[in-house]
Amino acid sequence: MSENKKNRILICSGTSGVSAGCGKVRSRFEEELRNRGIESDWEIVSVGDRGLFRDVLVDIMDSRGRVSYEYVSPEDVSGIAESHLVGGGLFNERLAGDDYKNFFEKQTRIVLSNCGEIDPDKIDEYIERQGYAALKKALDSSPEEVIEEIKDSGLRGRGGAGFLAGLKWEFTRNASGSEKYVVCNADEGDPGAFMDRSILEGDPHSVIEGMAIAGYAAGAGEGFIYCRAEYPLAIKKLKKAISLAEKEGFLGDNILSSGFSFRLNIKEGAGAFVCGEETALLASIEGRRGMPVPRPPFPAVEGLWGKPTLINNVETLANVRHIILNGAKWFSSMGSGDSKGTKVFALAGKVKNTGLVEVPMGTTLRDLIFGPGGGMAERKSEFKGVQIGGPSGGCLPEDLLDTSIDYESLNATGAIMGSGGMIVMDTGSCMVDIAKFFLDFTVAESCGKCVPCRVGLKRMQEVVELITYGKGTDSHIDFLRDMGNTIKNTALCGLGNTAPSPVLTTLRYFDDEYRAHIDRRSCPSLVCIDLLNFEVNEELCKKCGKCLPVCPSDAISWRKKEFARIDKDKCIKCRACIVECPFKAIE
Amino acid sequence: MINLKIDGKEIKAHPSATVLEAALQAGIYIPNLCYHPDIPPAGACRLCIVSIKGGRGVVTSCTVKVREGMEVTTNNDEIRKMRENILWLTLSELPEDIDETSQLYKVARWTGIKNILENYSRKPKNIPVKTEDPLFIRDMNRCILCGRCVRMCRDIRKTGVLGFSGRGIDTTVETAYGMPLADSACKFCEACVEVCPSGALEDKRKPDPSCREKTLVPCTNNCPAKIDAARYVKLIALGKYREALEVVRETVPFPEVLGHVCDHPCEEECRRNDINEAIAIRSLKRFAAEKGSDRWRDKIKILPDTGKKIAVVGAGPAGLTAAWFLNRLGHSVTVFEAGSSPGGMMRTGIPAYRLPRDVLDREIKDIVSFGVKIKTGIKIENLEELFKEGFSAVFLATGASETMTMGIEGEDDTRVLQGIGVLGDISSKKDTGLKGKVAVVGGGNVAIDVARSALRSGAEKAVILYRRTREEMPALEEEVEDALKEGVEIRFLTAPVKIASSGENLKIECIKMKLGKPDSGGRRRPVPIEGSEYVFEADRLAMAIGQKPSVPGGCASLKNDWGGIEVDGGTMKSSMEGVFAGGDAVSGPASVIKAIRDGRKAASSIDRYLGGSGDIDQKLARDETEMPCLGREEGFAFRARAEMPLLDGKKRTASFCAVEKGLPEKEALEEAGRCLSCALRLGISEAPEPPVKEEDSG
Repeated sequence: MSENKKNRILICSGTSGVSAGCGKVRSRFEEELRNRGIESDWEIVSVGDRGLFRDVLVDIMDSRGRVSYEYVSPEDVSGIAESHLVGGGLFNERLAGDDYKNFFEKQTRIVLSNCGEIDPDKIDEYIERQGYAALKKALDSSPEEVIEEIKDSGLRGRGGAGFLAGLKWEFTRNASGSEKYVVCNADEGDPGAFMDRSILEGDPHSVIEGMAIAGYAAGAGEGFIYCRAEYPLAIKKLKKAISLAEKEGFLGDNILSSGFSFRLNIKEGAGAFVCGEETALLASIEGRRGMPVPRPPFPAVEGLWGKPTLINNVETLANVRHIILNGAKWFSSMGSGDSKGTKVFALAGKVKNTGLVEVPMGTTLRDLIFGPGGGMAERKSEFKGVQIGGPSGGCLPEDLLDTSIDYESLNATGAIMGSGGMIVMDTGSCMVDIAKFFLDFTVAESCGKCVPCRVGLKRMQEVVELITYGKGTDSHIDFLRDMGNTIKNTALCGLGNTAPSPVLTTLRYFDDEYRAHIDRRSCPSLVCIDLLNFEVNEELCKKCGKCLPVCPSDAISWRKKEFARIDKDKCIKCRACIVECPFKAIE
Repeated sequence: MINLKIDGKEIKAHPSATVLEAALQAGIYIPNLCYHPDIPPAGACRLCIVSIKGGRGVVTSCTVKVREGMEVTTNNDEIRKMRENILWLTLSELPEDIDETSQLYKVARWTGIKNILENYSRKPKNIPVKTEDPLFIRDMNRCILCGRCVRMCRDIRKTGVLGFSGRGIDTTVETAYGMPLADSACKFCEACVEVCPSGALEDKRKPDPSCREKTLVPCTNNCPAKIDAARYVKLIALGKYREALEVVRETVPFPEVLGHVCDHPCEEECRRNDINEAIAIRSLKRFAAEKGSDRWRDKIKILPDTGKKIAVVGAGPAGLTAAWFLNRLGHSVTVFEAGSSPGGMMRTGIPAYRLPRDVLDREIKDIVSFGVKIKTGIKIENLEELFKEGFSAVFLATGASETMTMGIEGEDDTRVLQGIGVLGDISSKKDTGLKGKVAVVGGGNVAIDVARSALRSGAEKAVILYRRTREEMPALEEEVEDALKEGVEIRFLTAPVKIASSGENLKIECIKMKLGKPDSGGRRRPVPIEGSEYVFEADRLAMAIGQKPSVPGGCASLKNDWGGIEVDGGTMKSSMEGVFAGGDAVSGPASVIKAIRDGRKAASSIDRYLGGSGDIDQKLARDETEMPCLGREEGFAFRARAEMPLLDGKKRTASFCAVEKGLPEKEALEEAGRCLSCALRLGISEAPEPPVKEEDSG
């Protein structure tokens, strides 16, 4: 074994790896290798996140093949070294389980194929996996041929709206002007979404290569990656990758002796959600306040500093090299209808496996959630709805679980494909509260320029809040529908146009929950605190008195051999007693 | 041209027009608030939504360009409903009391104010109103964030002072870091105020809608003669001195005289006073007169001879101004002057250190060179004779040179002199008898002039006795300042009550005064303090407590109760057919510029009387197309007023040389650059307002 230099220890070291403590795990491995005198046999590789949350993931590759460990803590490292690296056996305690296998086996990983597999700081590893081969191939063809290939592939923008990428490229190419730009929209702002971050951290060259190809096709000589400053690791990896690509001649002047030159810059955004909107994003790059401007003119005609500008999202650009290498036909063979290829989702909420999931378009929601997602997190919890598309998207109920994941089918439901946020909710989630949560978000993130978004969302938020307080009326429902439609139709940009969707879809699919809040002044999911009364169920109460000391507001009275009682006037509904009660006697 | 259909109506529009512009032009009103014809569109208020056949949903008509064959619907149930919702949202953030003259109010009325949400009450934002800046207030509680001010400031004026601060519902229009306007490089052009549709930005001094110029361009509009100060200051700033002089010349024949001695009401009202100090408009006028070329002479057009003869009595500023304009209109004008040289008070009342005689002579010579005849040494007493000699009209501009007396004991002493007489004597180089310690009674410009002249004529000391305080002094502030610098002493709240002679000296008994209640003119009346009498000794005493109009003996019937000639203020017509009057002879002692105003009015009125149009003005300088861009300049608000270089204090009293040296070019350019360009605001287009609904107009 010791002769083989190819033995690798892969440690997931993206942002989620870092937060789980991958640094300590890595240094423990280094220590173990050193102490055991086997450091020359093993190569430790800090790879990007693979997309599944299992604390630190460690994969060990040697002549016996590949073994995955999950939930690896620094304390486990000596055990792994002992049994696996030296002993030739397995460290069973941390062996990845069935859920892990299930999660990855049920995906089609194309965009994510390098994430968690290669060291993003080493360009050779990228090149070994056909990196920059697509750029070479593209430079051997004419820009028009490249555009044709992208058009034929049917690739649509992965940022949300789903505009045909090839058309955008063609518009930019055909726009008049010699100075043009390519911009990568890496301002991933949906709560809970991190597809772009993982790609940038784990496989930055795929985006750089996509941009260079886009630049060549569109006739642009310069590109900007607009990345939020909250992604420091992604920015670090990008900077490193850009300098390596420049060194290897994949960026800069006369790339691969083709005569094509392309420079790449990173622009850090300050974290305004609206800057993901393309015109606001361009304003931000120019140093102005990130506020959208009406289109037309579209950026492809008049973009950055008034020059034609091609804007694509990270995932869109990461798809490009695969299309160029494998052909449009290969790409369009995946997917359904007018939605081709795969889509990455950030699966979150009450599912067993949360993380990044890449599936072919046309997969049903059910197959995704109960496939790689592994179903509901807890056996007894029941699926209630799934929010797709983040704050711009909609909330779909169980009877729409067989909806195919493609642009048209999702739009028909009132949700959108969006950039890939997917939050699964069980019966413990109150849909009115969910609607309020997303409104809180969009109210806070509205740029303030146009009236419907700035004021309309605020008024809607106030009304939804009243409903959660038990002060809702029938006219509030009418108001929400009416105002929601006005905002949807009249807001200036995509943020405003889609912001009412969470309310409109919950009204459409979970009308009964609104009705319960208004007619019965109750919250069926026991979430809206103002509608709850904390009471002791005397059939379940065992008179143990454990609830008494945890109550911070002295609302509980209890004496030995008596049922506990809750004083409603004093209760602040903090739930401390519910958590404490071993018999679930407080409701 | 593009052909399109709006609400079924076939219209043609310029290819660069937006749908909104095309509709407005065709008389189809679409409600709008963030649109303004002078500013790039924003699409912020969303009121101007329309639907376009073949398009999805609605679009804002202010941002969509017209296309051939386009079919636009501006109003249907769906659009109306959405508009009402948007309007309700806009109003839901505002106080109830919206200014009824504002565009917002009118648009709201037109669109229809409906209550969309039951039991909703507007929530006051309680943002502190910014009142501490000069000239205008900012009340963000009333702001609808249409962004017109921001775009005006950033994109048109390019001053970049106002921007958006905060986001979402908390967005406000602010300066960077909320700093005061002056610290934010504001140029106070107030274009932002002009385009604000909601009353969030408002002038501190609200203009009268019937005459906005009066408040908004106060320099020009407070000039009695309406010299376009705003225009010539701007021209000086552009280095166009020749054109600047021509602008002054369009209105008055005494640019340089005024540049030396005008009491500049323009500066008193200058809006820059509210920021730091007024523009030195008088000094700039003098600069233009000195630096501007003589091209205006070639441009003056003397109209063909009308065959009419006009007599002007008195060659002061009123008489000569009337003569100048009447002569230009083709009349034959003769000016009769009782004194030995023309100029009136400009010569006999204003000392040479304030108005060098060569300046006066030159401008009078200009008047004569275009054909005005001046006959000096002729005192007109009888107007009948003038008419008999063939004059068709007479303009009486005989001034006010009769000194008023105090009526106190000992006033007839030969050592008690008349102030205005002393100035006249100095001017004609006669001996004044001023020596030793000279006391002057009065608080006006004449008193100051006499005191300062006394120091230049051999007096050792000059003391002004004035019965009120400095605040009430009618003399120009800068004159008082100069007098004090030259060593003139002023005793305030002091009045002589008796003059006794004691050998060489005059013993002037004075009484101390205190200020009582304001009189009809608003000045506080002096009240003697009993028992405070004291004696003040002086070699000479000059009376400068005012003059009375000098009216020819034969015109006694034209006089009113207090001795002035009674005229109609609009036409300057007296009660005698063909006789007009103006200047000090009508008003009592006033200013050169007011005399010029009267001369202009009289010229116009006389021309009409003789059958002309009364239009006396001739355009000399071509109108400039003013650039709406001002650019950014840090510290603009703090630029100090140019200081007039003065003759050294000690040298001053040694002669009658001009005290003010005139602004050097660099300072003049800088000074003109301090101008707020108030007139620019008047050039801003009006925002389109909704047509008045029938129910409203009825």
